[in-house]
Amino acid sequence: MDTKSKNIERYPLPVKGLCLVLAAALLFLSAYSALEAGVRLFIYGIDEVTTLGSLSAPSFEDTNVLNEMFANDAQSLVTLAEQPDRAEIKKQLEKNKDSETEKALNRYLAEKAQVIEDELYYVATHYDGYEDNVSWDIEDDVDETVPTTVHSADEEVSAGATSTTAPPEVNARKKVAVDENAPLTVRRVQKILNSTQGLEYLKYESLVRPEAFREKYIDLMFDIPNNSWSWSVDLSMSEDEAKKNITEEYSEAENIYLTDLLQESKRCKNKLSETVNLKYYAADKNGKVVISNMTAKEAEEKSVVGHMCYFFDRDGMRRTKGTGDRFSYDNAPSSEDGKTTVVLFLEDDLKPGDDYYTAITCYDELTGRGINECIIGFAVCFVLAIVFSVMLFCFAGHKRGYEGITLAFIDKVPTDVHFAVSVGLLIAAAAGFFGIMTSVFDRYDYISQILYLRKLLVYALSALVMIFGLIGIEWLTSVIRIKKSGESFFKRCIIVKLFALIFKGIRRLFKKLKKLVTYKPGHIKLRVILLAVGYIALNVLFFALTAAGAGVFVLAIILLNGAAIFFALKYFISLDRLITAAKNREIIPYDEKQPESLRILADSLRYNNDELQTAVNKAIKNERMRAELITNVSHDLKTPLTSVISYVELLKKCGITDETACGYIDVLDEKAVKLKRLIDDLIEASKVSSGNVTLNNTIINLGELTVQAIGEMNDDFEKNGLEIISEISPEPPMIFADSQKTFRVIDNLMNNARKYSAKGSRVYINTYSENGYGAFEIKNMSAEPLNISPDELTERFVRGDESRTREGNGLGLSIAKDLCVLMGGSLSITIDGDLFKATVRLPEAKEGQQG
Amino acid sequence: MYRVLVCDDDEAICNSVETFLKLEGYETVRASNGIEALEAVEKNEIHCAVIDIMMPGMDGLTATLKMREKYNIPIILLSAKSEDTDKISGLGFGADDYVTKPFNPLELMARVKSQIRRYVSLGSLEKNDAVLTTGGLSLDTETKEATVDGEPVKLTAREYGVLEYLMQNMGRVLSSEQIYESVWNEPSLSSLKTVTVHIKKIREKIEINPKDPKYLKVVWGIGYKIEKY
Repeated sequence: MDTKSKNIERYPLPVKGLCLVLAAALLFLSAYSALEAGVRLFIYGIDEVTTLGSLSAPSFEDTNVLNEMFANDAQSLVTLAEQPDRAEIKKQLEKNKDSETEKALNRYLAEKAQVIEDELYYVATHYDGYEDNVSWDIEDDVDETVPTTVHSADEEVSAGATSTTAPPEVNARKKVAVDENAPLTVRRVQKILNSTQGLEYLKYESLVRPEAFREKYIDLMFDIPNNSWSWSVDLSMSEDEAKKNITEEYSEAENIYLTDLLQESKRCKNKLSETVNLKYYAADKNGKVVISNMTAKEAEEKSVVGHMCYFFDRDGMRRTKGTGDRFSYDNAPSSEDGKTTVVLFLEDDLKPGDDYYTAITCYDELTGRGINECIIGFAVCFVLAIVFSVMLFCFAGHKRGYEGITLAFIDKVPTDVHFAVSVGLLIAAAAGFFGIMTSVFDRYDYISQILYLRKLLVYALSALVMIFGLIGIEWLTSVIRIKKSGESFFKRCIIVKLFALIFKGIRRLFKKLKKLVTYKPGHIKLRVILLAVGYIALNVLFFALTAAGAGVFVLAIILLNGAAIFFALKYFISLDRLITAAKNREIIPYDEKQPESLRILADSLRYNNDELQTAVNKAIKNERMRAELITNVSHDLKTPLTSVISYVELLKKCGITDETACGYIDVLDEKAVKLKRLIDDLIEASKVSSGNVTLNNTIINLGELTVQAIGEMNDDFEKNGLEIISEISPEPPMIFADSQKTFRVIDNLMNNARKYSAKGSRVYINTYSENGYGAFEIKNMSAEPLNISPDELTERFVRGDESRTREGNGLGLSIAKDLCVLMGGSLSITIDGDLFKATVRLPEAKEGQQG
Repeated sequence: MYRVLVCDDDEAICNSVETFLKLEGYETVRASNGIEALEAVEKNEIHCAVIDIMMPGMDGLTATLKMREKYNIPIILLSAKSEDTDKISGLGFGADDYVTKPFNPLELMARVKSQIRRYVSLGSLEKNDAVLTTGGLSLDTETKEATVDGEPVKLTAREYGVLEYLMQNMGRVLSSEQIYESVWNEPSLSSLKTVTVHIKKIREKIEINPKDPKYLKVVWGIGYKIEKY
């Protein structure tokens, strides 16, 4: 693995790039070859290739393209040959004019009469509530007389009418019975209906509302040779108007028909005239030449010789001669009578200037490189492209100067997202390509597409295939890199991740559910569980009943759930009250109506609260007792001591002359004083260590304090043969502390130095500021070796001199340290041989602290 | 003959104090609690009372309070408590002086003497603007003499200057630097120790117990002041 990777690393980056470029180029070439092969297949027709059994190019005459072009031109010739003579047509049309218009008018009038009859019939049968207020234009006497006269006329007219136009339903209609109770108008209409038929109704046009005519549309039509003409009119026109309209329509139809014929022949002629190489001949059924660029004789000769010719005989069936029998032209128009002749063929040598020339040029170009070569080229290029792609895959992940596999930035994208994006790009490229191609191709007809746009199409498609290939290679190399780096390709897929996440979630949910199901209730009794189960069961039951159609159970559902919500709310409010009370350390409320579980909780909380209260009270009491004890003990110790001191003093005044007795008295005196100080210190130490001290912190000048202290004690030091050397910083530290207590600390330290310093030595005292603390430092040489750690020195009753013969009781440093700590500072002691150094650090005053 | 009331529940202390007072030539009246002390003051003409604070029945502080309703005799409190707050509250109850147990009987005698002298002799002293007074300490700025409870005190010129400056600013805390610059009339530089030495000497002359001064007090870390009574 190691050597292999090293070998591969020798391939520098340019090799990779080269491979990519080559793969892309080869892909392009292979696509190009494949497409060229495809185009040849298309142009030759797949049948040619397969039936010929070889991949050699067929002759040009056999190609689809030529057949298609020939068919188009043949169609034009046929159209021209079969087109009737326009003058004759016109004559025919003029001849038919009267009969066609007459026919249309009759139909119009019949439709109108029918409408009148329908309207009157409606009035005669639906007269309920009919108000007799219609103005009656027809005179009264006519009422009685006209129907009879009309009736007589009716027979004559109706005979003609029925034979021509009368609709059958008019005849079928039953006569209406005259209702004597109906209003007068209705009665009259009923009578009219009973006595009138067909076109006679036109007489009563004025009785009918005009809207009835306007609402009704009919289609009228003319028969025209090879065609028909129809249009739509309403029935509101009078007879004369209708006649006029019909006549106008006929002229227009005539006109348009003739124009169309003219234009069609013009179009065909134009198309034929565009050709340079086509020889054509077309004769109509009478043998009259319609259009031609050669003589009839020539046409006959050529066809015999075997040129590609087409003939259409009188049946309209196609008859072919020469090599044109492959041509399948199924839409040959048929002619009614007579015989038309159409002949067309190409000249032997094609001249430039028309589609035939272009087609043959194109064909030559195609046959220049055979389909075999195309296929072989495709195969070679494709295999090479794959080879280079595989090389690329081998190089994937190896980067010059890096051991092992290096992942590219794109590899961080989940593989399936990468795939989706790649596919999206492919689709976008394809869509863009086809969009452009269709917009280009739409502008040309089919032949032109094949002839002119073939190359463009092939190149563009090849490019598209290349892009497809590159995108594919890019995605595959990414996958291969991931694979090589040893990571799971699937685990990188976002879908896999998603599923894993969902699976994990489901498992977690199951775990939780399992916990819920297997939980053994502690204080929530079985009853509660049963209640819950019952609640759910009832809900299900009610829902089922409701669904089954028992609507009443909706009420039951509301009641059940309402009750459940009410009780749940009540429970939670109770619980909340308990929690609030417990949190605020209030008295836990008693509530007899509480559920059992809550009552248990409340009891235990109350118990805890009580216990806490007891403990706190006890602690307070202890503290108070301690303070009282200190006071009482000090009183009880000091009172007898006072007596001792007083009586020793009295003894001195007794005038005792015995020297030994005087010596005893002096010892008593000295020890009493020492006892006094010990008691004072003991009480002080006890107070300080228990924090039983009130501090009156103010801003104090540590320098001033040191000066004051030195001033107070200088004499004592001098008595002990010691010299104080003090160095007070020019800007003395201002500290925030209790001045009395601070003096006590410094007093203790200085006394300490005074007591334990070697005779004749110097004591150094400095004050300075340091890191937000004011410091007091005292250094002295111990008279006796200090075989003790600094920590031990500050413990109570520990003294530097183990013999404990000197004055002092071992409480001074302990008190000093405790006081320093109480005031937020510290006392540190270092011992270096006989050098004893004590440093007091007390917090410096900050702005805003009171002086 | 001055009469001193000694009030303590401890018989031994009472005896010793009485003995010392008698040696000094005072008559004594004894009481063992506050009630007896009040009765004694009613019955006898007392010139000074020494009262213990912690006593059964009526304690010393209550007794002092009751006594002050009718009498202005000097009262010296005895106490086993030595905290400042206890002293302040004791003096606030109307006591004139405060001695903590265990005390030196000679110091107590001195304080009794001082109180009686002031009570008897200084009450009638004429008021004079030239004389600065606080408690038993007075300073005549014209004659440049200082007296404590009427007894003259000998001071050097510098000591007098310091004391006068402090008395003029009675109740105010003055730093060593201020005192030096005002009295020596030159910048302090680093000779502040001189001030503290002078102060100590003055204290030794005017105070009964220089370690527990009544008039010239040290405010540690800030300076010095003369207490205003």
